[in-house]
Amino acid sequence: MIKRILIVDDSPIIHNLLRKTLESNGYEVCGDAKNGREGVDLFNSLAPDLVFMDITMPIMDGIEAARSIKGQNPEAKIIMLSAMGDEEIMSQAKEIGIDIFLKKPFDDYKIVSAISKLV
Amino acid sequence: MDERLYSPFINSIKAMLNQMASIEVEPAGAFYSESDDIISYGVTSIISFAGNIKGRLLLDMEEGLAMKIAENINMQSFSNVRDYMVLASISELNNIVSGDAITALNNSHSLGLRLAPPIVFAGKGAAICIPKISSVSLDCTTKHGKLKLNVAFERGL
Repeated sequence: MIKRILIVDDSPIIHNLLRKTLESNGYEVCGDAKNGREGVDLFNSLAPDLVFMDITMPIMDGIEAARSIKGQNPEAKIIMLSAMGDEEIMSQAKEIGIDIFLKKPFDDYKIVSAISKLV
Repeated sequence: MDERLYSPFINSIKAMLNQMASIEVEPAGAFYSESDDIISYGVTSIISFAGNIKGRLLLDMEEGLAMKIAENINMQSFSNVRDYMVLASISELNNIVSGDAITALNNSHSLGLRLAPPIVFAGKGAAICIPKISSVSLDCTTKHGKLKLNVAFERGL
């Protein structure tokens, strides 16, 4: 069965590039959210197999959104994809239960390898 | 300004522009103190960061360079520098450059800096009036046009 993926990022560039990578590797992008709040709402309504989550976003950042999703759905699979990656953020991500942390920019190999470890 | 605060930004712009758009950046000289308003080359993106101290990164570039960056990132051509995807590409470039540099600063100096979403605008010759906090600029060249970095921090380490 095709795995369904939700993208949460405020950059239309990341949405486009990630969508191309995912679709060309046989995954379905089931939703696009522009901030953490939309991401939480779409997660609840779409129940994706996996989420790509940015950190720096307006309205609600990715750390808060991931905490909310993992708090209610501990089995949710989330890959953090961010320009930031310092020790404090990595520690927060680990505490929330983020499955994989990737730093931007990304390439196809990095994305597909990460997904294959989770779904 | 303390060189330890601004030196990560030149490393990041060189590395990220190469990784994202296969464009080489060459500094044209050294960082210098910037006290006047900045007159835009054409496309400008500003991102603020705050933690134990506050600061910002301003990236300013010629329109041709902005178009080339957007084309290489998106693997498609654009006819107007004001195209939403061109401006969004420059915005994302600034986000990734700043994120990379801020990560290095946080890990080295425990500054707890976090980024705000970037802003971007196009307007050749526009005077950019920015808060008069200590800043340094670096002029750079690429095959596709000129680029300026301006890094500001309200105080030192």
